[in-house]
Amino acid sequence: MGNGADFFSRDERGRRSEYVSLEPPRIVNGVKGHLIKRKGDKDTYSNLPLYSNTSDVYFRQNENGVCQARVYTGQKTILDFDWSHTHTNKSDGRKFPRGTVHVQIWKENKDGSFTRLNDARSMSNAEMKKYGPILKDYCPTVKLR
Amino acid sequence: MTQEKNKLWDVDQNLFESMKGNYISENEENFFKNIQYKQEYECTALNDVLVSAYENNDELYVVREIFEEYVVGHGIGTNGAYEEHVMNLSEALALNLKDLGFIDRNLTLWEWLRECDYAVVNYERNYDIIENGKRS
Repeated sequence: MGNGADFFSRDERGRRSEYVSLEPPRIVNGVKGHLIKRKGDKDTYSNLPLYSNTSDVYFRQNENGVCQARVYTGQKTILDFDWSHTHTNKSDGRKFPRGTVHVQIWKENKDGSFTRLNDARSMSNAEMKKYGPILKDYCPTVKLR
Repeated sequence: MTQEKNKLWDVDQNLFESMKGNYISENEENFFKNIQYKQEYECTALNDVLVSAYENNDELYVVREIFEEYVVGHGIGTNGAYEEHVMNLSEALALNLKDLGFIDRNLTLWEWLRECDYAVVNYERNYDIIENGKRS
């Protein structure tokens, strides 16, 4: 594991995290990002965590490089920036090609589960200004919009 | 999980309706009923691993994301190098696994699932449910 492993070893409630760091965190444009993966050598196919304890944004990578970011407010998942695949919206048929960010919004339910809201959309101007630099830092080829 | 019902893609709604009374086995009936429920009520932010590459000789995996998006892939330790991401179940079941280079037999995912009578499918691996309260 990378140098950030110890820093990432406990979650926000003091329990051992299911995830490990792949490299030290980066701070770009005031946003702290961390490239992580689920613990263990076996493929788990699971996504980035629902809760953050060390960063504003967690990133995941696959064989093609860094391909998704999950953003947290108050340590809870609020949205995904995803460019790992071609996405088509169900309601309006809008397509987002692989390599271009589509944004998915999440809300937490009363029972602690999370639900995605509505169709995907493009990054807003405010999101591009705040998160664009760190997305480009982790994946220089990503198209923000 | 207390979630509002997700409106399915028309193709999936039609698929689920057309299957009623036409299942070829009890396991197929279980598959479609389970998957319809998951797609309507069981949103997943952490992913739902229906088929793991570790549990079949062809090393195929099928992962449900959000409500009804699917990743179908091949290989252990391939880290997403050989996989397709589609938007609904109908697209997933229609994927030709030979054309994708995943297996040598000329089978769609649906035919592959029927070949093993859905024995490889695990309905209890939605990480959101597994980790609910654990705070991943």
